[in-house]
Amino acid sequence: MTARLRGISPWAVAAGFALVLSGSQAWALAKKGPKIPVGDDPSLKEGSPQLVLIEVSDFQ
Amino acid sequence: MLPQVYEEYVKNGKVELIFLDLPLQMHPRALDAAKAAACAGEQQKFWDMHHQLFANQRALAADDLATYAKELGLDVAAFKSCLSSNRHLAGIRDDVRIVNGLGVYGTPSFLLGRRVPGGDKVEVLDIVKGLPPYAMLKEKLDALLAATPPARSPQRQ
Repeated sequence: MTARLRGISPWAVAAGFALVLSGSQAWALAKKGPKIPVGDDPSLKEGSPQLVLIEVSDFQ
Repeated sequence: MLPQVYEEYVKNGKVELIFLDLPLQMHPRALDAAKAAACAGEQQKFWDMHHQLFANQRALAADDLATYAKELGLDVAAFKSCLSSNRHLAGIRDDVRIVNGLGVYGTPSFLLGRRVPGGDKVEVLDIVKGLPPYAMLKEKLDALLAATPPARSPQRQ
Protein backbone atom coordinates (compact mmCIF):
# COMPACT_ATOMS: atom_id res chain seq x y z
CA MET A 1 0.00 0.00 0.00
CA THR A 2 2.72 2.41 1.05
CA ALA A 3 4.80 1.48 -1.93
CA ARG A 4 1.90 2.25 -4.24
CA LEU A 5 1.23 5.66 -2.67
CA ARG A 6 4.84 6.68 -3.20
CA GLY A 7 4.17 6.81 -6.90
CA ILE A 8 1.24 9.23 -6.60
CA SER A 9 1.84 12.91 -7.21
CA PRO A 10 1.20 15.18 -4.17
CA TRP A 11 -0.96 17.30 -6.48
CA ALA A 12 -3.20 14.33 -7.15
CA VAL A 13 -3.53 13.71 -3.42
CA ALA A 14 -4.38 17.40 -2.83
CA ALA A 15 -6.95 17.32 -5.63
CA GLY A 16 -8.48 14.24 -4.07
CA PHE A 17 -8.81 15.96 -0.71
CA ALA A 18 -10.37 19.00 -2.38
CA LEU A 19 -12.91 16.80 -4.11
CA VAL A 20 -13.83 15.08 -0.87
CA LEU A 21 -14.25 18.40 0.95
CA SER A 22 -16.35 20.02 -1.74
CA GLY A 23 -18.28 16.80 -2.10
CA SER A 24 -19.46 16.96 1.50
CA GLN A 25 -21.42 20.13 0.64
CA ALA A 26 -22.57 18.89 -2.72
CA TRP A 27 -23.65 15.59 -1.23
CA ALA A 28 -26.42 17.21 0.77
CA LEU A 29 -27.80 18.70 -2.43
CA ALA A 30 -27.21 15.70 -4.62
CA LYS A 31 -29.16 13.37 -2.38
CA LYS A 32 -32.92 13.29 -2.78
CA GLY A 33 -34.65 14.54 0.34
CA PRO A 34 -38.28 14.01 1.27
CA LYS A 35 -40.65 16.62 -0.15
CA ILE A 36 -43.23 18.21 2.13
CA PRO A 37 -46.11 20.56 1.28
CA VAL A 38 -45.84 24.08 2.73
CA GLY A 39 -48.42 25.87 0.60
CA ASP A 40 -50.49 27.46 3.34
CA ASP A 41 -47.84 27.75 6.01
CA PRO A 42 -46.59 31.14 7.20
CA SER A 43 -43.56 32.31 5.28
CA LEU A 44 -41.14 35.19 5.64
CA LYS A 45 -38.85 36.06 2.76
CA GLU A 46 -37.33 38.73 0.57
CA GLY A 47 -36.92 38.15 -3.14
CA SER A 48 -36.21 34.62 -4.30
CA PRO A 49 -34.17 32.89 -1.61
CA GLN A 50 -31.97 29.90 -2.39
CA LEU A 51 -32.82 27.99 0.76
CA VAL A 52 -35.68 27.41 3.13
CA LEU A 53 -35.38 27.14 6.90
CA ILE A 54 -38.45 25.67 8.55
CA GLU A 55 -38.97 26.26 12.23
CA VAL A 56 -40.97 23.41 13.78
CA SER A 57 -42.26 24.45 17.15
CA ASP A 58 -45.06 25.02 19.56
CA PHE A 59 -45.48 28.18 21.54
CA GLN A 60 -45.48 26.84 25.08
CA MET B 1 -31.56 32.62 17.45
CA LEU B 2 -34.24 33.36 14.85
CA PRO B 3 -33.62 37.11 15.03
CA GLN B 4 -30.01 36.36 14.05
CA VAL B 5 -31.19 34.17 11.18
CA TYR B 6 -33.53 36.95 10.08
CA GLU B 7 -30.82 39.59 10.15
CA GLU B 8 -28.17 37.50 8.44
CA TYR B 9 -30.12 35.36 5.99
CA VAL B 10 -33.77 36.33 5.56
CA LYS B 11 -33.49 40.10 5.26
CA ASN B 12 -30.97 39.86 2.45
CA GLY B 13 -32.94 37.30 0.48
CA LYS B 14 -30.78 34.22 1.07
CA VAL B 15 -33.17 32.15 3.13
CA GLU B 16 -36.93 31.87 3.39
CA LEU B 17 -38.27 31.21 6.88
CA ILE B 18 -41.34 29.01 7.24
CA PHE B 19 -43.15 27.94 10.38
CA LEU B 20 -44.75 24.54 10.96
CA ASP B 21 -46.82 23.78 14.04
CA LEU B 22 -45.99 20.94 16.37
CA PRO B 23 -48.06 21.54 19.51
CA LEU B 24 -46.93 18.92 22.00
CA GLN B 25 -49.52 17.10 24.09
CA MET B 26 -47.45 17.76 27.21
CA HIS B 27 -48.06 21.49 26.66
CA PRO B 28 -51.75 22.03 27.37
CA ARG B 29 -51.88 25.59 25.99
CA ALA B 30 -49.84 24.89 22.86
CA LEU B 31 -52.75 24.01 20.60
CA ASP B 32 -54.71 27.15 21.48
CA ALA B 33 -51.55 29.19 20.97
CA ALA B 34 -51.04 27.62 17.55
CA LYS B 35 -54.62 28.50 16.63
CA ALA B 36 -54.09 32.04 17.89
CA ALA B 37 -51.06 32.47 15.64
CA ALA B 38 -52.98 31.12 12.66
CA CYS B 39 -55.91 33.44 13.40
CA ALA B 40 -53.52 36.38 13.65
CA GLY B 41 -52.22 35.28 10.27
CA GLU B 42 -55.67 35.89 8.80
CA GLN B 43 -55.05 39.54 9.63
CA GLN B 44 -51.44 39.46 8.32
CA LYS B 45 -49.99 39.38 11.83
CA PHE B 46 -48.77 35.82 12.13
CA TRP B 47 -45.13 36.71 12.79
CA ASP B 48 -46.04 39.46 15.24
CA MET B 49 -48.17 36.99 17.18
CA HIS B 50 -45.40 34.38 16.85
CA HIS B 51 -43.00 36.76 18.61
CA GLN B 52 -45.60 37.74 21.18
CA LEU B 53 -46.38 34.14 22.08
CA PHE B 54 -42.73 33.15 22.41
CA ALA B 55 -42.14 36.17 24.60
CA ASN B 56 -45.01 35.10 26.87
CA GLN B 57 -44.83 31.32 26.95
CA ARG B 58 -46.14 31.16 30.51
CA ALA B 59 -49.20 33.27 29.79
CA LEU B 60 -51.23 31.58 27.07
CA ALA B 61 -54.73 31.43 28.54
CA ALA B 62 -57.66 32.57 26.40
CA ASP B 63 -57.68 36.02 28.00
CA ASP B 64 -53.95 36.38 27.39
CA LEU B 65 -54.36 35.53 23.71
CA ALA B 66 -57.10 38.13 23.35
CA THR B 67 -54.88 40.68 25.09
CA TYR B 68 -52.05 40.01 22.63
CA ALA B 69 -54.47 40.33 19.74
CA LYS B 70 -55.52 43.73 21.05
CA GLU B 71 -51.92 44.82 21.61
CA LEU B 72 -51.08 43.87 18.02
CA GLY B 73 -53.97 45.94 16.72
CA LEU B 74 -56.02 43.02 15.49
CA ASP B 75 -59.77 43.04 15.08
CA VAL B 76 -60.31 41.24 18.37
CA ALA B 77 -63.89 40.16 17.63
CA ALA B 78 -62.78 38.56 14.37
CA PHE B 79 -59.81 37.00 16.14
CA LYS B 80 -62.02 35.47 18.84
CA SER B 81 -64.49 34.26 16.26
CA CYS B 82 -61.65 32.61 14.37
CA LEU B 83 -60.38 30.93 17.54
CA SER B 84 -63.76 29.53 18.49
CA SER B 85 -64.41 28.29 14.95
CA ASN B 86 -61.46 25.89 15.10
CA ARG B 87 -61.02 26.40 11.38
CA HIS B 88 -57.24 26.16 11.59
CA LEU B 89 -57.26 22.93 13.55
CA ALA B 90 -57.06 20.73 10.46
CA GLY B 91 -54.08 22.68 9.13
CA ILE B 92 -52.27 22.38 12.44
CA ARG B 93 -52.91 18.63 12.50
CA ASP B 94 -51.62 18.40 8.94
CA ASP B 95 -48.38 20.05 10.08
CA VAL B 96 -48.06 17.55 12.91
CA ARG B 97 -48.60 14.62 10.55
CA ILE B 98 -46.03 15.99 8.10
CA VAL B 99 -43.26 16.58 10.63
CA ASN B 100 -43.96 13.29 12.43
CA GLY B 101 -43.56 11.65 9.03
CA LEU B 102 -40.01 13.01 8.98
CA GLY B 103 -39.29 11.50 12.39
CA VAL B 104 -39.62 14.84 14.17
CA TYR B 105 -41.53 14.61 17.44
CA GLY B 106 -39.91 17.28 19.59
CA THR B 107 -39.66 21.05 19.61
CA PRO B 108 -37.97 23.06 18.53
CA SER B 109 -36.65 21.40 15.42
CA PHE B 110 -35.40 22.90 12.18
CA LEU B 111 -35.67 21.63 8.62
CA LEU B 112 -33.26 22.95 6.01
CA GLY B 113 -34.22 22.58 2.38
CA ARG B 114 -35.08 24.19 -0.89
CA ARG B 115 -38.28 24.94 -2.73
CA VAL B 116 -39.24 22.45 -5.40
CA PRO B 117 -39.51 24.52 -8.61
CA GLY B 118 -43.03 25.36 -9.65
CA GLY B 119 -44.73 24.04 -6.57
CA ASP B 120 -45.63 24.53 -2.96
CA LYS B 121 -43.28 21.87 -1.70
CA VAL B 122 -39.94 21.96 0.02
CA GLU B 123 -37.32 19.28 -0.41
CA VAL B 124 -35.86 18.65 3.04
CA LEU B 125 -32.07 18.30 2.95
CA ASP B 126 -31.21 18.33 6.63
CA ILE B 127 -33.01 18.06 9.95
CA VAL B 128 -31.80 19.57 13.20
CA LYS B 129 -33.58 18.31 16.29
CA GLY B 130 -33.48 20.51 19.36
CA LEU B 131 -32.24 24.06 19.65
CA PRO B 132 -28.79 24.19 18.04
CA PRO B 133 -26.12 26.76 18.84
CA TYR B 134 -26.42 29.53 16.28
CA ALA B 135 -22.92 28.76 15.01
CA MET B 136 -23.98 25.23 14.10
CA LEU B 137 -27.06 26.37 12.21
CA LYS B 138 -24.99 29.05 10.46
CA GLU B 139 -22.44 26.47 9.39
CA LYS B 140 -25.14 24.29 7.88
CA LEU B 141 -26.83 27.21 6.11
CA ASP B 142 -23.54 28.50 4.73
CA ALA B 143 -22.55 25.06 3.45
CA LEU B 144 -25.88 24.59 1.67
CA LEU B 145 -25.84 28.13 0.28
CA ALA B 146 -22.33 27.58 -1.11
CA ALA B 147 -23.52 24.48 -2.90
CA THR B 148 -26.85 25.85 -4.13
CA PRO B 149 -27.24 27.90 -7.29
CA PRO B 150 -29.17 31.17 -6.84
CA ALA B 151 -32.89 30.95 -7.49
CA ARG B 152 -33.77 32.19 -10.97
CA SER B 153 -37.47 32.89 -10.88
CA PRO B 154 -39.63 34.76 -8.39
CA GLN B 155 -41.51 32.57 -5.97
CA ARG B 156 -44.90 32.90 -4.44
CA GLN B 157 -45.01 34.96 -1.24
